[in-house]
Amino acid sequence: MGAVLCLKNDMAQLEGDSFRTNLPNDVLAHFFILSDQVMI
Amino acid sequence: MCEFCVKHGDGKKWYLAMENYSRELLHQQDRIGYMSYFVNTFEERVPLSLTRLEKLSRGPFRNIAKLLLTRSQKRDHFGQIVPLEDMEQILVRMDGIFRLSCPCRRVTAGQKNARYCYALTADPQLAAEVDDSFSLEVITSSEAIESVRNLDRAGLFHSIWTFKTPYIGAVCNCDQDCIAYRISYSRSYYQIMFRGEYVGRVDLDACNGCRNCMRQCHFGAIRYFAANKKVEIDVRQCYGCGVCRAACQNDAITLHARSADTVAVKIW
Repeated sequence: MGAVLCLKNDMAQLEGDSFRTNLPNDVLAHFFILSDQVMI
Repeated sequence: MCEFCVKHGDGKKWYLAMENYSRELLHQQDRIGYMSYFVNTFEERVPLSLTRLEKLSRGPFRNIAKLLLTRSQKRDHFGQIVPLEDMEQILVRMDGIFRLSCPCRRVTAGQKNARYCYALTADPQLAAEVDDSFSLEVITSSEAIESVRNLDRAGLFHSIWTFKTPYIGAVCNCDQDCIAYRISYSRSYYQIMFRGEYVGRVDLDACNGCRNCMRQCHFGAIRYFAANKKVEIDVRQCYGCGVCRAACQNDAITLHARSADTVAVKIW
């Protein structure tokens, strides 16, 4: 499902289309809402 | 060759592959609806997106956000910088072109009639769906080329844009008022366009050290060396737009294939 991307400055990993992190759900939700609302 | 040349150009310049401009593609996946929505809502939508990007860029997920946003941008609306000679090759092949006011300049400069953008189709359905304030005008390839040449001399760089990749629906003539320039380069939020397929090179024998090219470069790629009174182009910074050439009275700057440059070959 794609290579694991370890990102030095981020407290999370992107693995294919899924997202791994130990951060609280509300922090994560805030991130996804913000990025989903970006349309250029 | 950039990633899109491999995926959408059989290993050649993808923006010279005519299938990427075809009417068949335009009429698939509701591209006309996407293009008109894109243009009509730009002025309202993009300032909000920029605010969100600023928040994301300061947050703990900024690197992942860059990856995710670039990935979705490559799917929907991605660009590449194209030098004048390649832009002429694109425009001369088009059988219909609309000139319209640039959506970016509405947001960044408050200019509603900066007519720097060209839709690479004269499709009547698109004309019907785009807001009247963009005042689409049909122009010929020759008129478009003449206009782009003038803008090149004025120091604007040229870019092509997909609307649901790989369909190439528009070209623009950009400067630092361009939203893509700000997102990709000056604010480094995430990549929204590839650099050009070229990098610039200075003939030191021909350079007289006037530094006019430095003023023309939007990407800070040209360095002046006082000791020998010459300029050099840092290919790590060069976006391959080639507009520096128009500022050089000695024709000291030429473009060369990025793929042949050992330093720049992987910098897109």
